[in-house]
Amino acid sequence: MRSLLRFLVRYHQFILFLILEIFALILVGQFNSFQRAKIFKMKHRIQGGLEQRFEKFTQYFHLEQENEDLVHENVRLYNLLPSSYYNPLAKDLIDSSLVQKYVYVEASVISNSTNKQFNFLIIDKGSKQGVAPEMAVVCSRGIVGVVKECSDNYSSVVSVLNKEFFPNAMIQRNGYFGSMAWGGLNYRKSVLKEIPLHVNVQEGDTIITSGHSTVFPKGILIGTVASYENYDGNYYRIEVDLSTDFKNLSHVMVIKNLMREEQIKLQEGLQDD
Amino acid sequence: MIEILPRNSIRLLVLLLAQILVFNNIEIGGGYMIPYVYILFVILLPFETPGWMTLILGALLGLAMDVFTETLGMHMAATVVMAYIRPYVLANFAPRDGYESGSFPRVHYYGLPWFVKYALILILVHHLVFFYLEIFRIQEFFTTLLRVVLSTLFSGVLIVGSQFFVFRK
Repeated sequence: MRSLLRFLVRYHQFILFLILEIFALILVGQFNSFQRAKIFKMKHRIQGGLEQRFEKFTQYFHLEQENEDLVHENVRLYNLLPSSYYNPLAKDLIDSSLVQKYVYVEASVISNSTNKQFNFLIIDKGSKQGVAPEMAVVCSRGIVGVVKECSDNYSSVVSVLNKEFFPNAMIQRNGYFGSMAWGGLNYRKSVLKEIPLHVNVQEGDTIITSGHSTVFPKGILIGTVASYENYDGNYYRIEVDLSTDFKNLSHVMVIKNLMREEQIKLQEGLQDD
Repeated sequence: MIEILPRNSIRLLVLLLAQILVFNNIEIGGGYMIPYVYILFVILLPFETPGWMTLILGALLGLAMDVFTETLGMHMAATVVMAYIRPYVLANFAPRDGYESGSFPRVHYYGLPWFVKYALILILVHHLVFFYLEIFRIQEFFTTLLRVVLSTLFSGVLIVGSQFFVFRK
């Protein structure tokens, strides 16, 4: 007993180090989604207010850019209005055949990172505002990410700058699709893979979402082709300049797909066969 | 020892806030240089701090960072390793007649070369543990190593710089 005590006293520093280090590693490894949600809520009580205030302050710096984007967006939307179309039949279209599929919810970014390997954003809308996991998040300049978890008034969003997020993308000009994967370093660039070599790819080609997943609507801008190379003899490795600048992101939109359940049910039916 | 406590707590808060609100938003060199300056807290702890206390303070510091950056355990694992080796690094770089009582591990007391050596080793160890734990895969070994080295230099410049502009005495 005494020798055990002597041992403990002599090596107390090393033993404490081992305990703390093992505890930290367990935290890294065992960090499941339940704990994540709990920590997430706790953190927001502390940090939400603080960062929101700071974010409000820093938003002023981006006002000019932000206004410009909003003007562009307005112009685009005005162009879509029925009043800006000429109807040669001089009759109103009866559009009961049209059913709304996507609903947009606007949100502000209250925390964001670009310097980690697995980046997340926090936005100020949560389950009380109708946001739910797996909803798409975009901004006026293009794709942002997908909602991961929601508390009452906040949601965490897996950013495109996350090594475990692979949005489905397609080349707008010819419709060939593949999946995007972020390289983990440059926040302005991402990589499109799985495009076969026979496809005609050119620098400057527009890359958009393919709409094959149930998350993103088709046609949301991802970026433009910066360069491409023969990757492994079968496929191209295409470097894409992301259209969204994650460094000065402040207003985003969450897209709710009203027909998602239906689509998922059908897909599950296929897998069961 | 008593008057050291409030000063260190304030420093801890200031460093955490600076890291979360400012330095977490800084990233240059295409994602290769990411500064972590909050570890300056461990670097500047008084010489007399016992080993176990350095470990516990380091663990708490890392845990606080983890909660705010949602990387549970990663910063903690890195700061604990760093806190553990600190006494050995200090002993290794000690002047011939030991550290004077009433002095602190600062440029002001022991000069620039001493501080740069001491701080860089601690920063390097912290960054090694943190960046490899963050990526947690072996495929990108050399990319990560380059990130570690460049980020260490970046954090090092900021931390040594802070000795001339912020923590002068």
